[in-house]
Amino acid sequence: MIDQIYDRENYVLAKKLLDVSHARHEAISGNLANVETPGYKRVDIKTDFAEELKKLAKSNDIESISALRATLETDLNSPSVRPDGNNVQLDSELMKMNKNAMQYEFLTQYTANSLKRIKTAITGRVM
Amino acid sequence: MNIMPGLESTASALAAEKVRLDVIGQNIANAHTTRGPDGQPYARKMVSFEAKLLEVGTNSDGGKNFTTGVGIKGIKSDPKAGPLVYNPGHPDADEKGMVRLPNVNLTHEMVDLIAASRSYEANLQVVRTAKQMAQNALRMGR
Amino acid sequence: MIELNTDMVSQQALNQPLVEHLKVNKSFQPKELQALPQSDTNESFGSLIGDLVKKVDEKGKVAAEETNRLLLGETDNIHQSMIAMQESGLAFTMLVEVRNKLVQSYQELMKMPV
Repeated sequence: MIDQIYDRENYVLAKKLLDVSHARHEAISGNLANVETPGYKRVDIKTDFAEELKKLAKSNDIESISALRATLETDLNSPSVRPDGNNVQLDSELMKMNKNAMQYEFLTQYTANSLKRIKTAITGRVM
Repeated sequence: MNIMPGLESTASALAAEKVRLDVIGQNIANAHTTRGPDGQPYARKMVSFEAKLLEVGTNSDGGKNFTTGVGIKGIKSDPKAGPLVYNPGHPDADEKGMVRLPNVNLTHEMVDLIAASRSYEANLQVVRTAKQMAQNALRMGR
Repeated sequence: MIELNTDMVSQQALNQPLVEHLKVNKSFQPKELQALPQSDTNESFGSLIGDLVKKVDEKGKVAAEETNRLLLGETDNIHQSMIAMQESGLAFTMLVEVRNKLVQSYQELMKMPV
């Protein structure tokens, strides 16, 4: 009975995306730390992760959404702007970080709101 | 307890950039030192970075999580010889009246300085953002 | 969902073995009650409540484990720990509310003149 409250698709998706956003921030901070290191290639979330998540969301399989893991991979497609092979672009990386932070904030707001709504339904008192 | 994500790599980057800024400052300060303690004109120092794997903890599978930080590979002297300038009145002039100046090119050093401080600023921004993210997560409980 | 629980309470109260010795068969039940979908497995109400308590306990254990891993520095997923704490707190609140409603409906039943 308890699990059905928390098994709604949007809520599970939001939780999984929080994990992804957190991992992405770690990857981006690693990239920004190595913006001057010769030969460094930037790291990001695997590019087909979004497709996998969309496929699982369409199939309505709650368990496998929770089991999906965001993995980091080296991004070789980004153009190299420096002669030493480093392909981290400072401004684009900063922009990605800000966008990621916004997404994280939205996801925490959404999760907090969901939990508050459930609490209102259970206790019958509007907080 | 690691609350803020991605701090180890940022901390290593801030430390590395600070070393680089120190070396650049030393180069600029000694741009006209014609005689050092070894009798030679000052040789410009260069910092070389390398990527370093830092461990940030275990994930739920028991595997270790790594992030890539920055380490200083070494501080080397630039062996290139500096320019020779004709200045016979100089105390360090050799028998032909030429003085060898250090191989510090101020323009290059300024460009390096700007790049290093931009990188430092970017990493500070990363720390600010990580703190904001952690505060958002904590606000979820209220 | 709370209302469904009280319906189940009255339904199970009528189907309990304690009353069976009065040989209450299905025809004595009001038509509305016969129209409700009867559960095939005939689980007793006690097992339902036991299930609920077990699930709440599991959620509490998950929350405790996540917080433990965070405190020991094995993970820096602070949001997972916060979410797990909130979820287990809500599950516990729901258990408490179910208990309150059960006690309330029991008292209402007892007040009924037989």
